[in-house]
Amino acid sequence: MSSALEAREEVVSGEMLLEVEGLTKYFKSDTGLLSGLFGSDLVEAVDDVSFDLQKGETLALVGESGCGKSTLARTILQLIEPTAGSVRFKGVELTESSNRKLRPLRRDMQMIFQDPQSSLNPRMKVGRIVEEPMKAHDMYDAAKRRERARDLLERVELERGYYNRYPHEFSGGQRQRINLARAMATDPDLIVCDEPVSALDVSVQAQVLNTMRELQEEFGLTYLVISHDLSVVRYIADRVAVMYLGHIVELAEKEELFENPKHPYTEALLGAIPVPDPREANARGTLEGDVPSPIDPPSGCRFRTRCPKLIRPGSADLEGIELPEEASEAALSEYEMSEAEWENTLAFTRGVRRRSFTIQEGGIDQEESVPLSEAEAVVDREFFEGTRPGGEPDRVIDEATAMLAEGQWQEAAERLRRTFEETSICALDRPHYTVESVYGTGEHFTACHLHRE
Amino acid sequence: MSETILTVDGLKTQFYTERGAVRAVDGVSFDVKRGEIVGLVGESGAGKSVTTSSIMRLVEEPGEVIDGEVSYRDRTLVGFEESVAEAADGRPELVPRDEMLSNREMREQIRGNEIAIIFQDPMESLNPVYTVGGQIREFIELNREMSTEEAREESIEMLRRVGIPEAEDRYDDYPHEFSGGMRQRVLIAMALGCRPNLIIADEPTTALDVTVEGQILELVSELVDEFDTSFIWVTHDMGVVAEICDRVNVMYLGKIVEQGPVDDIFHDTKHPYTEALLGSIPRPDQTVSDLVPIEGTMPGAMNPPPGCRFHPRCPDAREACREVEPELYDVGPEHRSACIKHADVGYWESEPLEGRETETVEGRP
Repeated sequence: MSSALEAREEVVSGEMLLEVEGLTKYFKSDTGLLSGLFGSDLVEAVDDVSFDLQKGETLALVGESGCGKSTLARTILQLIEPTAGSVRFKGVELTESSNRKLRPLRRDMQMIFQDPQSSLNPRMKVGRIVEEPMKAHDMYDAAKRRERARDLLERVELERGYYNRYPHEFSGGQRQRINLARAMATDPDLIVCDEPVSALDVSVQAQVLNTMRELQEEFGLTYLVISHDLSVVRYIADRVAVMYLGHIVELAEKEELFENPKHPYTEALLGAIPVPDPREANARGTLEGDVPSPIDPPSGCRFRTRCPKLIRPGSADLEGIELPEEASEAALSEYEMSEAEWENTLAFTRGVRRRSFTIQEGGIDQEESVPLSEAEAVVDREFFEGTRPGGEPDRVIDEATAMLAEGQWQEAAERLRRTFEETSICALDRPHYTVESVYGTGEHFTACHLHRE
Repeated sequence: MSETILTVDGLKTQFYTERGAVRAVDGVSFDVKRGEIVGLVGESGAGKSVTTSSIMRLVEEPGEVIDGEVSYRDRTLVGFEESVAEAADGRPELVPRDEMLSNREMREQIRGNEIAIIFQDPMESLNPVYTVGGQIREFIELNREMSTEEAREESIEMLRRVGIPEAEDRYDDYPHEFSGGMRQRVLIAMALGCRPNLIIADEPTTALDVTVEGQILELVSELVDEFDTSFIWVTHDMGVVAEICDRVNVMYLGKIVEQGPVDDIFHDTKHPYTEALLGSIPRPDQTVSDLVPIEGTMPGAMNPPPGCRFHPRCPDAREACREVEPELYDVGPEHRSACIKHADVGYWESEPLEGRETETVEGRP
């Protein structure tokens, strides 16, 4: 391993700058006094994430709120201590380095934040704000720092004369430029940008994004951009990693990811973005339900509880996957059914879990029981419409319907879940595949069992 | 053609500050038909939210609606007449007309049961110490004169309709137990539960994730089909506008600069600001190699530029734009644009502006 000092030497454009492997961060959900007594739950914010970043490129981490993208970025920068895994920056293992050893390296890793208002000290003049990181790292003498701060302001398309002004005198877009200038002050290799333009007005977003691009070209910067806005990502990223509940579910070059998405979550996410063209409208295919809790998240593929393409139990080749008792090959072979039958069965399973329908007419109190025939009629009308699987699945659906008639929704949901969801390959194994790229030549990683050969 | 239910004509709202009056809304006119979604689009500071609060008569001190007419069906929400007494400067003073509804009438007859409003921040609109279900129930009880039990059933039904899982169980939860997306859905359930004819939605999906936003947009289209509810949809997101709006009003610095059917706004764009706005947004459906940002920032509404308010940032600005204040000119069926290019007032004869001002360092008022 090279030392931190050597690492200050330049990494050439196109070479590996950052390698993240198996990075994991679990938080304790409860740090209170009694948590030690009762034990506390683990929040699996980031779980076994790997990717790498080449000098000069822009990688975007996208995902919805709570998917762990910000935690991941902070864990990479060692602002949060990882639970497991490795982060190598310019060949140096960060997770094992002491703070003192990390310090010179921090110069090369900077960060800008979402809110340009609260990330600038209102009592400091712009010049001092930009000089601060240089001072912290003992770079240059005072005169040189002042000169450099003025240069930087010019570089981010502000004026040298703004040096003596206070942050409140500037608009949101200008403040974000000041943040950029500060991040550039130590001449870093990597800048982590956490939602860099999402607090800005649309017309100003473009100004800041263009400045970021120009700076990248001029200084060979590497960006790790965290964003929930896929339009922005499509504009500035070279490669895109999609996160869902602490996992990277898909990673590919930009064009490939947007034009040839392979993970059902990516597809749903892309389908949900409103396109600014009324003739293209109605693209939204909506995803059901909400993101599950990161405490005790779903096994296997974490998206499976909402996935419209959950794989029917028994239909995938399970070679090399350890099976729990209820999912033995013999048991699974009885789940033979058509595509339509499986779709209805899945909708029923999820409908019961979400209680998206009622058994009795205008009924509110679901604890009361109703005649079995009535419950059966409702279930058939709402979900099966004549297309209902036979055999073992039919028997389980009957059982669940009987439970619903008795008002036992939770028991019914549990029965259905164990039979139809937990036995799918999606629940049994965490997917990990590489598929051929159609656009470009880069690697296309997708975490979906649909791509199992 | 369906009935026009809301007409806004020449609405003006000012805020009085120590440094002078801010003309936040300066002569805004548009209308809303039954079962229609009308967009109010613009960047922050354009005056979108002040317009909606003025319609609902929710503008508070130091703000005041000073001129214009807002009528909802046969009732006058805002209306003025010249007073008999003259003001100090010799010009007649405007005073509210008799038929303008009193605050009490607004509260009892309009807000909630006729026109409902959904705000951007759901946490501020829900009371943290009451259960979610209780708040919806009370709202429905008051506005639809239902018994408590009926209102409770209706609330649960509405919660289910907006996609809250396990609606009966969640009825007794408190707002903090709901995620942001769910809280926003609760507000929509609340607004819908009262069966208003018009819902004013002020950036209701801006703080939400795209998949949740998709769910809500889907729900809104269903509701328009089912109940013929009208919407005024306030947003800065051109994607959302394209997705759900029938007609669009583009606002800039307190004025409407272009209004028309959604397809015209996007495909037969007339006003340079609308054009610049569309050119500056990154697209999710295609890779754009270079975005053209709009130069500078929106000036404060305290001292708006003379003539056309967009001229200091407008790529097409000429000398005449500095002098002539544009009106909304007809440029097509139901399509109007406030740019003097469309009128015979000397635009084409005047010289292009040289050395336009760039970014101004000025805090917002």
